[in-house]
Amino acid sequence: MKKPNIETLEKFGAALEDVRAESMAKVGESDARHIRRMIAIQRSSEIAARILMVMGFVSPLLWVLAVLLLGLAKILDNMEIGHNVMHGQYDWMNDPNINSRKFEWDILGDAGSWKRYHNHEHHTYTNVLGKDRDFGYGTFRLSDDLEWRPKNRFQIFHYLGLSTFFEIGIAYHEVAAERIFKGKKRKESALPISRKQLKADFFNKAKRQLMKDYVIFPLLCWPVALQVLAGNAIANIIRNLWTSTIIFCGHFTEDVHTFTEEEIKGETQGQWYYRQILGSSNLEGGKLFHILTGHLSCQVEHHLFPDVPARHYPEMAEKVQKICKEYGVPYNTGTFFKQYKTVVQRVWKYSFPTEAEARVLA
Amino acid sequence: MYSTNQVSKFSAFKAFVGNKTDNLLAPTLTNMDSFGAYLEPIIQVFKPSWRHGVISAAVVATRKENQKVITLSLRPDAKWQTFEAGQFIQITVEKNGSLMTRTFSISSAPSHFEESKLIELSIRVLDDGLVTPWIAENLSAGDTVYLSQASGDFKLTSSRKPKLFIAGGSGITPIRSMLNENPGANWFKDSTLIFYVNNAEEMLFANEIENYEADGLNCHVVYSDEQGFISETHIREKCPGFENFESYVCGPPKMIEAALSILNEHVQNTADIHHEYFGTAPLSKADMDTDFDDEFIQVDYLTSNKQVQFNADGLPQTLLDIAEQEGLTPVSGCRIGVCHQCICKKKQGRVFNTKTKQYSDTGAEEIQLCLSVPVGHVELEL
Repeated sequence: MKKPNIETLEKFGAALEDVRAESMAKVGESDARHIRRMIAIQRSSEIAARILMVMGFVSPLLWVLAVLLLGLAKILDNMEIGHNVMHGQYDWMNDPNINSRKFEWDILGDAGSWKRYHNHEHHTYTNVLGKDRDFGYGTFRLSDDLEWRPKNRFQIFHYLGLSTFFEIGIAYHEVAAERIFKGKKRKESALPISRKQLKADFFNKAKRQLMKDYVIFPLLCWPVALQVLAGNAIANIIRNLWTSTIIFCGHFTEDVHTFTEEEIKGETQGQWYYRQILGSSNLEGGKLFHILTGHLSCQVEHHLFPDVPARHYPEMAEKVQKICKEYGVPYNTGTFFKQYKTVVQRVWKYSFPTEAEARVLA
Repeated sequence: MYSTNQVSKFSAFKAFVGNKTDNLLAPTLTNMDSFGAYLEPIIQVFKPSWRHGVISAAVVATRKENQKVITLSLRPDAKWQTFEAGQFIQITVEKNGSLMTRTFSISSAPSHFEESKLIELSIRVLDDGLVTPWIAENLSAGDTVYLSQASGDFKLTSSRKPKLFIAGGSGITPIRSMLNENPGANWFKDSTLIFYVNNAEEMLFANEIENYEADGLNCHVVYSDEQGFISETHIREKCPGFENFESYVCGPPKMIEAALSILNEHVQNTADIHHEYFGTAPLSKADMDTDFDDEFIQVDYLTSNKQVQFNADGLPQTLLDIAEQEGLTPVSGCRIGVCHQCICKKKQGRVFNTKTKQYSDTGAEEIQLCLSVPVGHVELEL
C-alpha cells in the first residue's frame, strides 16, 4: 500500500474534522443522561453484588451471580465510565464528580498516572516504537522491528499472565517506565510530578483498592469472609481478562501498523489522523457489546476523536469507513473472534526469531 | 444570621457521623468523597434534579420587569441559610446537560425571606449570553435550580450617616434589597437614590420607587438617553452635601468607575464608599502596573498539545477566554473567581490575578483560569 501524499491527507483530515463537528453538534443532554444512567447501573450492580456475595450460604448460585455482577460493575466502571470520563469526554457537563480531573476508578492503578501515560503518550505517539510504551508494554515483541530475545519464546504465557493480572500492569506502567523501584533512572523524563509523588500516589491507590476488596468487605461480612474475598478476587480477574482482551484487540491485531520516530517528525494533522487509523482496529458488535468495551470496540474512532463522547462512535464509524474507502486508506475491522484470533497469532508469531535472526543464533 | 436552635442535637450527631464515615470510608469503598455523591446517579433515576451536597431551589414564579429584565422567585431548600441585604448568590442551571453557574445579587429583602421563605433574583437578559437568555426562555414554575450560600461585602454598615445610593440599570437589584428591608430605618428619610436607566422602557421597579418616595427617600430617576452619563453635576444637583454621605454604587462597570472617581475625589472618608461590580472588574492595561514580559504572549496547553501566541498590545484576556477561543473546554463555572471550578495547574510562567491585582511568580501552582491574565510565556496543564 502506498502512503497518500500530504495534500491528499489534508483533504482526508478535513473530511474527518467534519465528522467530528457533526457529532459534537449533537452532544448534550442525552449524553449527560447516558453517562449518569451508566453510573447508576454500575453502582446498583456493585451494591447488589456486595449484598448477594454474603448470601452464598443460601445457595452457591447467588454467590456466582454476585461475582458476575461485581465483575460487570468493575468492567462498566473501568471502560464505559472511567476510561471515557478520564478522556474528558464529559468535562463539558461541569459536573463536580463526572469529569476528567476528579474521577477515580475501581482498579488498582492511580487515575492520575494512567491519564499521564495513556492520554498523552499513547494517544499522541500511537504505535510509534520506542515512544508508545503501550505497544507491547515494554515486554512483548509484536513486530520484527524489535530484536528477538530468548525470553520472547515464552511470551504467550507471559501474555496470559498479564491478562489475568492486567490491573497490576496498568498500575505499574508509569512507575516501571520511570524506574522508580529498580533500574537506572531515565536520563530524559517528562514526568510532570516528583518521583516521590508518583511513588506516593501509586502506594495510596493500591493500598486503598486492596483494603477495599481484600480486607474491609471481607471483614464486614466476617463469618463468610473467605467467600467474599474469593468472590472479589474472581470479579477482579474477570474484569482483568475482559479489559486486556479488548485492549489487545484495539492495537495488536494482525494488520495493525507500527511507526518509527523518524516517520512522525513534523507530522501534519492529516498524517496524524492517517497514523491513528493504521494503528488501530475495530470490533463489530451490538450496542451492549459496545458499552461493555467502553466503545473501545470503535478503537479507530476513539483514536481519531478521543474527547467525543464514546456513544457517538458507532455512528461515526460508518462515516469514517466511507471516507477511508474513498481515499483508499485501509480500515481494520472485524468480528471479535476474528480479530482476537489474529492477536493471539501475533503474540505467537513474534515469540520466534525472524529467519535471519534464527540463522545467526544457529 | 440563622438561628442555631433549629439545629437539633440529633442532626449535629448525624452530621458528625456522616462526616466521619464520608471522610474515612467513602474514598476507600467508593472512590468518591462521600456516599451521597456515590449514590447520586442512582437517586437521580427516580428524582432527576437531586444532587448531593448542593442547595436546591424550586422556581416558584417568573415575571418580566421590562423587555430585558426578568425576576425569578425561588424557594431554597432548608440547607440555604439566609442573607443580608445587598449580597449575591451563584445560581446553577442545567442547560442541555451542562451545569452552568452565574452570579446575581438577591433583589428581594431578607424580611421577605423570613416571611415567605422566598428570594428573588432580577436578571438582565444579555443578547449574546450563554445562560441568561436560556433562563428567560426555559425556566418556569416547578423547575429546580441550585444555589450557593449568599456572600459579598456590599452590605449596609451600622453607620447612621445618610446614604447615597447610585444605581445603573439592573445594578438596582442589591439596592432594592436594602431599601425594601429598611423603609423605617433612621437614615431612610435623609437618604437619596439616583437611579440611571437608559430610557423609560428600561425602567425597573417603578412602583416600589414610588413607595420609597412616599416613605421619605429622595428618589431621582435619570434617563441617560436624555440627560447623559453620570457626572459630578448630576450628583451635586440630586444630592447636595454628598461629601458627607455614605455611598453605595452598583451598575455597569463604566458607570461604577465614573462614580468612584467622582466620589473618591470629594468624599471625606473613602471607607464610606461601597461599590459592587457585576462580574469582575473590567480588564484594562491600566490595572497592570508593569508591562508585559514579552511582546508576544505564548500559552502552551500541555495536555491538549496546543499552543497559542498573540500580541501583548491587544486587550488583556483571561486564560479561560483564551482557552475557549482555542476550542478547548476547561471546566468552568461562575467566571468571576468565586466557584473555583476552573482551577488548573500552571507549570510555569507569570500571570496577573485580576481579583487580587497580584502577579504570580513563575513557578508551578494552581491558578483560577477565569482570573488569570498571562503576562509572559505560560504553560498550563490543560
